[in-house]
Amino acid sequence: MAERMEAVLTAEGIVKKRKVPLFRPVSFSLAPGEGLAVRGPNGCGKTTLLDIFAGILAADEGSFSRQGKAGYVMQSDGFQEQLSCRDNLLFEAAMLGLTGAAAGRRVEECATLCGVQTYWDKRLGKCSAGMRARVGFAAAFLGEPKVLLLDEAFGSLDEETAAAFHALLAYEKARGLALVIVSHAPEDFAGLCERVLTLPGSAVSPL
Amino acid sequence: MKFLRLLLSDAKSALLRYPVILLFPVFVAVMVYLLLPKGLTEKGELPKLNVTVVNQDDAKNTALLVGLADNIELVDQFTEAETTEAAVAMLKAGETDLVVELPKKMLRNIIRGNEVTITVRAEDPLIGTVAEAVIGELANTLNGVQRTSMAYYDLSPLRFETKAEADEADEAFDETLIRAVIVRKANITVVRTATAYEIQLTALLIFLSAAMGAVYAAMAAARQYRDGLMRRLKMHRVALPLVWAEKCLLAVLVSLPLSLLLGLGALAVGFPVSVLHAALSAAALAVPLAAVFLLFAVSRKDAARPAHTMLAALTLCLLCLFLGGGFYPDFKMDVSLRLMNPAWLAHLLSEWSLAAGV
Repeated sequence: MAERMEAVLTAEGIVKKRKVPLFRPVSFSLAPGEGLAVRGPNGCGKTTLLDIFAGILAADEGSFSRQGKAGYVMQSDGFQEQLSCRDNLLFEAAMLGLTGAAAGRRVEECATLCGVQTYWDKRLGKCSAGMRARVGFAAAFLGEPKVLLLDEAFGSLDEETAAAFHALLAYEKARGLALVIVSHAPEDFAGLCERVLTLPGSAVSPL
Repeated sequence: MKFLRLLLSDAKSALLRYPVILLFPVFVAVMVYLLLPKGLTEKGELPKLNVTVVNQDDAKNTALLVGLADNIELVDQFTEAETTEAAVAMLKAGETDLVVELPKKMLRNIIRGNEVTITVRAEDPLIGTVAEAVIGELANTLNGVQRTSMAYYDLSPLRFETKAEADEADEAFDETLIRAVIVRKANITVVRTATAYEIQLTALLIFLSAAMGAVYAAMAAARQYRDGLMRRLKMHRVALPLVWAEKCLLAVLVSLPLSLLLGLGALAVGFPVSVLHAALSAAALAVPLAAVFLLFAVSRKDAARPAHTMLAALTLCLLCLFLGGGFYPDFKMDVSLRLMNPAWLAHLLSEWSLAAGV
């Protein structure tokens, strides 16, 4: 019971249906500083599951609870291509309820943390996939999340940048950030996840 | 706060994504004020008609009235038919454009203040427009006859001692009255109203401004659905009605300056339109149009969503222009059809705008 109280993310029998259920009921509990890998074949509902945890979709069955805010690095990032990276981050900050100087400061902090500041006046539409991914990470950190959801977040990063973000996530994890990472590449989970959820069977096992 | 932020980012994206949006008003202005009036004026010239009259009224003065029609500038050939059947046969055979059927005791009823129904038959919708104008002018003339005669008969009962004396005087008066009308109205001028291009142009101005704003807002929504911004907004608990309200406001914000610019352009070339009324009309029309176009933006779940939205919206625009009388006379349409389409609303608003014109 004490473990449940501490959990930042708890899922109990979550099911999402299209015409048939996408996956078997998903149940797990994630404590601060823990990492959960999610893997499975294409179309098995990995992104759908993250959308449920982010509050974008509702589960058809089961329930989940989340303590604190969630940051989400999306596969299709949802940024506005005509705006600069900074404007996109300021927009994200406004959606999180940050305004004025506080928003500006927080955007600058996260942009510096993720290496966006060097090109943040560039239009997002003109950025490379790797640059966009960095903006995605910066946006996810803006709200000081308790749990970070990553959907194929490392796929477009070069080795050096991917290693840098691994190090950053490991640092934040050590400070209590919980991680849910969706990826097809096992190396993305290395050092960040202790358990793995395999869809569509929904078995949770040590990594 | 979220609403304003979304609106600002959308407006900024609008100008950055489509800088051509700034050139669009110039293109539309050239099309609407320089090219279309010429085309519409040429197209709008009223054709000369071949008119057949079936006169069932045996009053001798009716013949004088029938002769009046021969003087109307729009009448090319004027013939009389013995029966309705014969006239309709001529109409079917294309020998006449318009059949006017005068009922029995028409003139007597007019002069006595009774209602008279004149049946007009035409098969070509364009002819219908002209017929409407011709008959309208004739009706005005006959109403003038009726008003004058009613005033006379209101005074006459006390002036005669016997009925025969009164009837004789009445007959003399009737003939004098008809002749006076014919002399005064020897050449009836038909005022062109039904296809006045001023109304068509104003409707076009308003509709284009509103549609442009609505299409832009719907396109923005379609792109945002495709690119994932809507998912992001949902994650931040931004309610869908708020997003839709923002898009409708965006449509208004795009259509307002566009209509103002077009209105000022209209004034510059001497076109009598109230810029303020036209802009308000466009803004009002942009909201329902945007709401409808937004339905297209959410109706598909694939990468082609913006293209699909654009195509569907433009198709609907063309349909609205058709239903609004852009390609087909709207007076021939069923009333329920008119009430359903935004272009008809634009038509009504444009009349309002013209009425308040400077």
